[in-house]
Parts: sequence; C-alpha cells; structure tokens
Amino acid sequence: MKKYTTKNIDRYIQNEMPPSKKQQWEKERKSDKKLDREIKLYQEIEEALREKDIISLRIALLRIIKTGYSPLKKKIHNLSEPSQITVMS
Amino acid sequence: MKHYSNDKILQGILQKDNFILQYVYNTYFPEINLYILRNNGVEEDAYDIFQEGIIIVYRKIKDNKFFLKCSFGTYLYSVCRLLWLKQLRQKRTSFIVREKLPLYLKDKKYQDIIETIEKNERYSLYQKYFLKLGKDCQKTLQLFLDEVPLKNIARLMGYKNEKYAKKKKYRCKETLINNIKQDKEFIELENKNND
Repeated sequence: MKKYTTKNIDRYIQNEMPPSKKQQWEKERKSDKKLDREIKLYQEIEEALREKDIISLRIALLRIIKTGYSPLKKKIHNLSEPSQITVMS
Repeated sequence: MKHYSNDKILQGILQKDNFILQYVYNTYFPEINLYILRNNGVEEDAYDIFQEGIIIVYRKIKDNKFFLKCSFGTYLYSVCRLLWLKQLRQKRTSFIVREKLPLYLKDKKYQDIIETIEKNERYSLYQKYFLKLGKDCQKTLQLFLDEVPLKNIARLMGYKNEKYAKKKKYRCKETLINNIKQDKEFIELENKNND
C-alpha cells in the first residue's frame, strides 16, 4: 500500500494524474478491494466537506450549546413518561 | 413563551435562524434528553442525537419532498428516537425494545428517513472531525474545495509558496483521515459494511 499515499490518492481523485497512471490505478482498483474502499472514503469525505451549509448549521448548533443552554432547568417536570428500552445484558 | 408554527420552525432551520434554533432547543430538547437518559444514554448522547436530529430535518427540507403530517415536535422526537435506537444497535447492545422497534429498519414507512439517517451518519462523522482540525487546516482544505487557484491560496494563507500550500493540504487531509479512521464509531460502521 506504500504508493497509495494521501498525496497519490488525492491526485487520483482530483484527476491530477497522467492518463496512463490513472488507467493503471483504475485496473488496480478493480482487483484491490482495499484500495477501492480507500478511494471511496476519500471521495465521500470530500463530498461531506463540500456541504458548507450543513457545516455552518453544525457550528450554529454547537454555539447554542456552548453559550450555556441548560435544558434540564426547564420543563422536565412536566413531561410524561417516555417509552423505555430494557437492557438485557 | 411564544409558539411557532411548523412552517416557521422549518423555515427558521433552513435559514439557520439562531432565534428559531434556540427555540427548538428550549422547547424540544428536554423530552428527547429524558428519553435518552432513561434508555441507557447520558446527556452528552442526548446533545449529539438532538443535533443530528435537527440536521436530518434540515436535509429533508432541502430535499423539497418534505411535508409534515404531524407537529414538528412529534417528528423531531421520532427522528431522534430512531437515531438513538440505531446507535444502540450499532454498539451491539443487547436489548429488548418494548415498542415494536427492532423491525423498524424493514418498515417501508421509515425507509425514506432511514436512508437520510444512514447518509448523515457517515457525513456527520467526517464533518465533526473537520471541525476539530485547526483553523488553518480547515481554511486551507475549504479553499482547495472551492477550487481557488493555488497561487491565491498561498497568498491568502500566508504560505511561502504554492508548493508549500499543496504540502499543507496533503498534511491536513492526512490528519483528518487518520483521525476519522481511529474513531470508534467509524470502525463500527466499517465493520458493519464488511459484515
């Protein structure tokens, strides 16, 4: 797996490899499940990082918690009994 | 306290309106917190689940196929409950559910939401680790994703040259991926996919 470094995988998914090398990788991907999984992971991570709107929603939600939201002071005594899961072991 | 209609809440979430988000926490978190505390979780789990619940609602609104047939609170509660049960199942906790929930994954009426939950599960992990990177790394990776020319990235970030900017990008990506791979939840998801 040594040649499958972050740099090389990144160059592969960004289409920065020379066509002959890219073709070779395509072939290797078909026979090497580990490599295929690794490339898919990189692609998926990149896709997740492109979700700027969701990342900014995450930041907004984290900010609400960090700015001292204390839910248990409110309402909790007015709640009805929620359904329960019984742990066996 | 003022009450908001479903439409106002959904619109507020879509716009990431701080006031509405705060209202959603104040109004709906306590019940979900209590549910999780009573079902083998701790408050930290409740915060995580609640946050992911809101993000799933946001994903659904963005889909444009989202019509609420119940109150927002009921919907959010059921999403959070599914998230929590799925998490317990992933942890391979042996449990009996008093509701008929072990079958929920196969139930057609839940399929749509389950698909969103599964996509969100992995993406959420990646995004959380992205937000744990240093500001420098976050910004560098974001600039690359925005396809800002290398020269400009080096200038904006104060890097000595373009070569260094690329090196920094690889280093940040490597850190991000290594951190993700070491996460317990990621390992569980990978094992599940390999089963």
